Amino acid sequence: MSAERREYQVRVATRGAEEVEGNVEFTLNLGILSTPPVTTGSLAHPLGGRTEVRPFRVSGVDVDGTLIESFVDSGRWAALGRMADVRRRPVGGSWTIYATGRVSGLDELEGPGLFQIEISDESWVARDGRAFGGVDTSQIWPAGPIWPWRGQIGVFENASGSVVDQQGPYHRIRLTRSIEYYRAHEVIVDRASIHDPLMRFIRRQQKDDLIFDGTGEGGNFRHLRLWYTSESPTAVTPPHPDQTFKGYEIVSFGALNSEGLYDSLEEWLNAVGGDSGMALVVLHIWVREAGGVIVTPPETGAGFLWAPTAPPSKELPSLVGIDNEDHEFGTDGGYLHPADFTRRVWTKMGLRFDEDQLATLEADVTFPAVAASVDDSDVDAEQWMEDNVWGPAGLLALKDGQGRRRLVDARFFTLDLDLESLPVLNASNSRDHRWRLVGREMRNRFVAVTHKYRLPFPEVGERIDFLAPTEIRSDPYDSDNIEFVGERPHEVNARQFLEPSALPGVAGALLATGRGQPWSEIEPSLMDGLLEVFQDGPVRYSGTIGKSLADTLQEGDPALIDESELKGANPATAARTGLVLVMILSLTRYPAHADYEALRMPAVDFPVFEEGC
Amino acid sequence: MATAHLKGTARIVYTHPTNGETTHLLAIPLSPVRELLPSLSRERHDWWAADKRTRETVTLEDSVEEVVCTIRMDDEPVELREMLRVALEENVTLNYEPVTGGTSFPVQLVEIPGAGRDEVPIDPDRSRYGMGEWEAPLRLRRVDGGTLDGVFS
Repeated sequence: MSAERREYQVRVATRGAEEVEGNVEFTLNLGILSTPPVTTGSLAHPLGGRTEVRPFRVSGVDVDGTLIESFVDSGRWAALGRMADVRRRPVGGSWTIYATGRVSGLDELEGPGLFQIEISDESWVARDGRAFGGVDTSQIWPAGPIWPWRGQIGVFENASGSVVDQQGPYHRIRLTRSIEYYRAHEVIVDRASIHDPLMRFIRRQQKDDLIFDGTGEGGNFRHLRLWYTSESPTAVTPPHPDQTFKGYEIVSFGALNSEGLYDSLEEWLNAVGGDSGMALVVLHIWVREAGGVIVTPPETGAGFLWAPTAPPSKELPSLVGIDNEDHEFGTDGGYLHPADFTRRVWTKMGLRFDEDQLATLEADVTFPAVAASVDDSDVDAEQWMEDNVWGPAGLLALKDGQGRRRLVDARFFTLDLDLESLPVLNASNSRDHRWRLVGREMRNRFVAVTHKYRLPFPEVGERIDFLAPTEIRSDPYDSDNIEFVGERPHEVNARQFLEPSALPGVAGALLATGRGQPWSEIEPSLMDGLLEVFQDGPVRYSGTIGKSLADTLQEGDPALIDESELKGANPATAARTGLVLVMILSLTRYPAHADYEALRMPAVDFPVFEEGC
Repeated sequence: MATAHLKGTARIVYTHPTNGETTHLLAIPLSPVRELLPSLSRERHDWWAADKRTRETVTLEDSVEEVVCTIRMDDEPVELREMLRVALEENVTLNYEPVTGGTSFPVQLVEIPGAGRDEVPIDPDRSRYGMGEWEAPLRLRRVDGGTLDGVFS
């Protein structure tokens, strides 16, 4: 039994504040709240790694115009985007925050004087929903990744250059580069060859309004620059190009007019010759100093084409997990632990997260190591992470009561859970226990799809950087019920993890440095676990639990359901007996109870519980 | 009026928004007991477990005291209705002062039981309508933390 007198508050922060604590502008106490807030958390979908954000509403009485005054500034509504939290305490006790978000709407649809304040997930106004910005990990010409990635050698190669002409603020630089080519699929294959994907990328970089008369301050290409230095190529030192090179705006790759804009490139485009041999690629590039300043580039030097601010594309993806610990998505040795990668993404997006939770996950090296290739510039970063990292790796991104992101291990089937320490839902702390087997969500064939990047010879595919992935499909992990119910397949997208054929020495190095494992090492246990949950149709539970238990649970937590008390059908015992392991998927919190949804998990080495456990 | 000689046993004093301090004399105090229903009111959320033996209860704030009562035999219906209107619509505090005891009880009119939310009705007095008298059921609540014991005890 539990009887408690509680107080509730909704606190709203000042505009622009990233946290409520320390930035409270006004507080709604029970004198204004018409009812205690009912809050919703995330709704987890473990199979796809997806979580739904569910806004909730707080009702406040506009006593003497207090709410209008609080949400208005200088004659305008100033409500949206403010951080807000909901907290409760027993009278005389300490406050506990149990929901946090941002004000995403206001209305008086229930009638004048009764405000409905909608509070949503704080990523509604995340500073940058697109964490994968410019492609600075690959050169354009000579092409290739600058730093080692998935066993590919870092390029960082240049062409010899010299200034051969000047017109007004423009200088023409002649770049030369020897290539050794061979005929493969009718194209010349060399990092300095000129080919179709490269041309498509460069043409897309072209600005709408071209300038050749020296006016303006920039070139005719959006992000593409010629990076040029006076030092000889052998004197250039990695790791970062712009430590030595200067980026020049590009005006033309040929003549100073629109008709000849690409003359120099087209001369070499898919140039034919013998089946193999040596050639000297010569490019003429008109450049100008950025900002309109007229400065003569070094008479002789070295240069390459680079577009570090260009958005990712199919021709030029952004690489994650490069071998460069100074890069925002690189490490010493390359590859990233999924928790480390998540930390970097959330930090770049300006989202708050539970660092302790991430650190705990990062200490678990049973996750696959990430080496990703991002080719979509418009993708929402969290959506991309769900589809490519969290879902396939068995992770869920949820929110805690303070609104912070929290990465949860959803691989209950592989975890060494201390079952006896888990909370048990029984007749004294829950009710309205219901279950349903969802047939349309049955999946009885799991196939993992990975990408392998060929070594050692590059070839031209769709990419400028000569990295041509080969798609590898695993042998199917089949249920024995296929013969009865037919195939219901599910593809696990593991393309962004280290491929099955691990590079020599990489697996050991990954484990030693805590960056994870090759996908092939974790695939069997992960896929078998998915089969156990979904092969006969997932079983979903719902009901209500008393606040004493609800206050201790979060979405993503494991729990046990005592079917001998709650009388749900248990296939493991073929009766209404036994304990069932579940993952809590959602919680809707009321003052004295919470509604829950849960997903049945397989009981791996489930002990026989003695009475009283 | 027949009840004129009874007036002065109780009254309600309030501040009308335009007319200032106003006294409405009552024919009889808010009694007898069968028409006076005191209670304690408080928001309470509770939930029972499946075994019907475990309950979780959450309450908010301290209880407030209420009485459901009826003004009877009122011979000033226009003034009565106006008093109820300002109490509901303007949130004016009514001060009930039974002559017995002399204590004033400040209360808010929560509702007129049986009436729609947008209405301020008064009813013909059940026994003295022929004398042109009226009655009005009320739910009164004291919100300052004080007691209404003197009203019914």
